[in-house]
Amino acid sequence: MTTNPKLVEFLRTFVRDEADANGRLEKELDEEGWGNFALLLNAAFFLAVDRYFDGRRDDAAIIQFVAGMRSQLDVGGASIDPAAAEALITSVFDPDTPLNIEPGMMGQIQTHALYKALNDKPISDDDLASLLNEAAAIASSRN
Amino acid sequence: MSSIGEVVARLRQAVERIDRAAVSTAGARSEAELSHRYFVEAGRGTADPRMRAAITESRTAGEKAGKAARLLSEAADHICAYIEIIAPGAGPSRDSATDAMPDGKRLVNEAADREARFAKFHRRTNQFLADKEGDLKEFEQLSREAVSAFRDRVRPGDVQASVGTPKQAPAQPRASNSQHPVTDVLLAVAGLTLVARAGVEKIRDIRRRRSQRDDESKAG
Repeated sequence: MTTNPKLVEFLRTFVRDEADANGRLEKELDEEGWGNFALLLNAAFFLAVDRYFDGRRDDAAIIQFVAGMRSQLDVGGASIDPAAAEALITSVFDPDTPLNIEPGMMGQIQTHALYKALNDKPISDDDLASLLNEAAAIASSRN
Repeated sequence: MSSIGEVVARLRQAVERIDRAAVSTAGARSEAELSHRYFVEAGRGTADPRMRAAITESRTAGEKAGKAARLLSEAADHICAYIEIIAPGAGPSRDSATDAMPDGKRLVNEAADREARFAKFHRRTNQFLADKEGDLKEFEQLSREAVSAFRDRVRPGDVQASVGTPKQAPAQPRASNSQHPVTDVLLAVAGLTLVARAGVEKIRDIRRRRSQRDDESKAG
């Protein structure tokens, strides 16, 4: 399945806080279908987290990242399971990490982590485009 | 930061990061030099000021990137020297010719490592989601709700407006979108300054305690 470019744009506008464009895209995607969004997010999450931590597992930094992610949310931060979030991020560096997590929680964590990883360590427009395009290529090729 | 060991560990991490930045910057220099050659070739026979500007600026970019790569390597060398002072023998072994400019093999290995990790991560997470009753729908739903919550924060919606909540500015001010890689390096160096200061504080603390102990033993 090829990745709809609107899904990529949906994530880009989300990361960049372009709320109006993001809301418009959501409506359009509701009509067109969300296709392989989950695969795209999963891939973008991996690439963003890998970039943020420089490709290396650092348990203390992961704990700090998750704590920051939960505390920075205006609403709902406490509902994010820290152990699940830490395990999910650790699995980027050690794919054998056990995942004891519900799919909904996984989607929520990946979304928040994507935002934080790409905003706390600022990314240029070009690099953001290439990260999301790489994620789209992977999401297209692996299902 | 509780021990010299931790300070040294952080400094060593910083050295590795700066080395990697030096490699990226050296790559940028190669790209700029290559672009410059292309522009020179493409610009033959034209005096258009835009093409002249592209030729000049790509040459300057190559020169500056080369200088940045050298300065980064020198910064890493200085940190190693500093580590040797605060913890002799703990500095990363450095052969400036090889460590400051890690070879292509290392870059290829890192890329291959990421590729392998990613393939496994993707296989596992997708299998994990497929094994769950809710397949990908629940995942998608909660993700979309999270995005929607961010959108409401940036642009408070009608619900909030109707109960008289004042309009909020974006909650998380962010650095410019056109952040230059060099800014990342500057941020890394700023972080490094803090780590170095923590190291100096630690040494002062140790000296202070030593001198207190000496005073107490003299008094005793």
